This record gives sequence, structure tokens and C-alpha cells, in this order.
Amino acid sequence: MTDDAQITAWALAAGRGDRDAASRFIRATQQQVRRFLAVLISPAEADDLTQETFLRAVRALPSFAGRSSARTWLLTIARRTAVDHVRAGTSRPRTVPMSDRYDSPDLARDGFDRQVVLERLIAGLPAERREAFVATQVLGLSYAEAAEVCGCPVGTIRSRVARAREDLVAAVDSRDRRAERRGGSTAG
Amino acid sequence: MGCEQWREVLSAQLDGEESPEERAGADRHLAGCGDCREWFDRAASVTRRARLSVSAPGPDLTGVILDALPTRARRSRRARLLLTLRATLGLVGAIQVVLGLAQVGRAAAGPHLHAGGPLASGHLWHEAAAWNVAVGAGFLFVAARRTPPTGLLPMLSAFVATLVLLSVNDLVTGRVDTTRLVSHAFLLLGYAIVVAMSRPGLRPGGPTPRGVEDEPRWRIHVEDEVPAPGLRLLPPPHPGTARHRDRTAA
Repeated sequence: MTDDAQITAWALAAGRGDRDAASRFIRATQQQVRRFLAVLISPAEADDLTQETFLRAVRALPSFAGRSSARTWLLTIARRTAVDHVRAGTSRPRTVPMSDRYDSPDLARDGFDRQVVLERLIAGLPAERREAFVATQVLGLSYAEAAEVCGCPVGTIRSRVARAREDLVAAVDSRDRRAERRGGSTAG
Repeated sequence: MGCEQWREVLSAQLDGEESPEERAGADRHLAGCGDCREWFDRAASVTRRARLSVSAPGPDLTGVILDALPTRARRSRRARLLLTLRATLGLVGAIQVVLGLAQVGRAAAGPHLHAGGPLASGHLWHEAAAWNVAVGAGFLFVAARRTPPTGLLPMLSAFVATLVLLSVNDLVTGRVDTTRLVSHAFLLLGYAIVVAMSRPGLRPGGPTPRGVEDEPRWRIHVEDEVPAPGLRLLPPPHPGTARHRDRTAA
């Protein structure tokens, strides 16, 4: 992965009108932005929202002063895009598609499916916790950077991440217990 | 401190964001609390899995985004044009004010030959000077402000139209010298700029030429959209999960 300083340098050059730097900047950051948006809104809309985020970002690039890292700055724009998207009412209320395959007993044994289940559980977290958890764990931001992206104090990020972890541990626990019960009854 | 607070510290510890004192305290707590030890292990494993999760990379959007960039070039060209117009208008306004003041000065200095006749020599001359100053001030105001100059437009249009008609008439009847008419050129130039600036495409601070394309305006209407239940009589399916809260919040 490209480091933050390099990305920031590209962003600054792109702000001065360097098209080449702009394309490098986009190429280096788009997967993270898409990932963030996929969790904040939904994977199906992530591509469109990523595009919108970058259009906004590119427009705002000339005013990017490099006070924070370009990655943090960009993720802040991504988050704002997501918020606007929800506010504009173009997004259906978030429902978590857990029901259909969720209860099948084999899932817990298969590593890949475990992963899918975990992602669904993350998707089921309340918005604020989900945002904090994904920013710090999946995107690898520090608490301070995540606080900047979410526009809240560092302590808030810290407690949201902790709550998210508690939710996930509890959810995985209850899942495992139910899977065990069910596995036992079908085997017997 | 209860287990709840220690778990927040433990969570921070998993991210390497705890302070040394917190770490020492948490270690002491873990030594004495089996539940938290177990929770810590589970939290660590969930965290590991969450960090490991790899999503398939999506399509490369670089080309699409860069293709949309010419709008930015157009936008900055538009900004430059607007700046030029405003600078010119400011200059024209200043000249107009100076011309008006000079007119007052010349009237004070001595008799003039503008329109001839007894009426023109006195107050009418001053009134015309006041108009020139006023128009100049109007131009300066539009140039300095970033608001659309719509209010000024009808007044200026009437003024310019009347002046043009009268000037033509005076020219035909030979009642005006050409140097005086040349000074009207500034007025015409300023008027043209004000008209240009009140067009929606150039309006300072107005909507972008393309309208509100920034946000998608469509919305999918789904027939079988399930209304959120107002009352929940059954307990949420997963104790302690966020699902329930998320749903009601959505």
C-alpha cells in the first residue's frame, strides 16, 4: 500500500492541476473509499458513491492545504457524501440481509462463510459504531484520524469502537451457541 | 471501575491506543476477572477476523472520474471570465464616477455648451452629473458584490434605452458634440457587462450552469417495501446485537 505522505503529495500536486498526480491519487485511494462506503451505505451503491466522492474531492482539491493527511481528508468527504445520500432519501432504509442463509448450521464451520457472517454482523451494527469500527479496524486509521473523519472527539471513537466490539462478541457468541445446538440436534 | 469500563480500555489496548497506566490497570483487572479474560480473547479474535476480511476490489474508476474533470476546467474558465468581467466593470464604474464628478467641477468652473438653451446650464447639468455618479456607483457595487445584479438591470435598461434614443435624435439634429457621445461608451460597456453577469450561467454565487446534477434525483419506489413495525412484541432475535436498534433508527 502507498503511504500517507505520498498520497498527500499527489493530492497537493493534483490540486495545482497535475492530471497525472490526480489519477495516481484516485488509483491509490479508491478501494479504501469504496470499502468505507460499502460499509456505511451498502455494497450495491458503493461504486456510485465512490464516484461521487471523488468528483467532490477533485473539485475541492485546489483548496486542500495538506493540514491533515489526504487520506483522512478524502474519507471525511466520503463520509459526508454518505450522510448526504441518506439525507436525500435516495437510499432505502437499511435492512440487514441476514435471514436466508444465516440459520444454516454449516456456516459456522466454514472459514469463508464465517467471514461472510462477520461482515454481516458488522453491517448490523448501529451506524455510529459501524463507522468507528470500520475506520479503525478495516481501514486502519488511528483513533485521532478516525475522530477527524467522523467529526467527533477521540474519546467518542474509543468508546464507539469498544461498544462495537462488545456487540460483535455478543453476536458471534449467540450465533455459535445456536449453531452448536442445532448441529447437535441434527447430528443426533 | 466496572467491567464495562475495563472493556473499553481493553478495546483500546487491542488498537494500541491505551496509556501505560491503563494497561497496568487492565492487566491487574484481567488477573482477577475471568469474564473479562474470556471477553478479551473473543474480542481479539473478532478483531483479527475483521481486519483480515478482504473485499474483492471494485472496478477502477480513475478513468471515469478523470473524464468528468473537464467540468472542472470549464468551471475555472468560467471563474476567470467572471473575474475579468468584474474587474472591467469595476474600472468602468470608477471612470463613470470620475466623469460625473468632473462634470460637476466643469459646471462650477464656467459655462458649458452641452445642450444649449437656458435650462441646461443650471440644475439640469448637475442632475445629469448626479446620474453619472449614481450609475458609476451602481457598477462598482455590482463589481464588488458577489450577488447577481438583477435589481440594477431594469433601471439600467431603461436608462440606456432612453439615452440611446435621445442621443441618436440629438446627433441627427446636431445638438451634441461627438466627444460627449464617446463618454457614453463606458456606460454601454458597463451595461453590457451587467447584462452578461445576470445570465444564470455567469451569475456570481448562483447555480452552476448544469443545474443540480451533483445529487442523484431519482429514487426507487419498491412496491413491497415493508413498513417498519411500530411495536415490537417479541424480543430482538439476537440479544445484545445492534440490529434491533439499527432497524428502528433507520
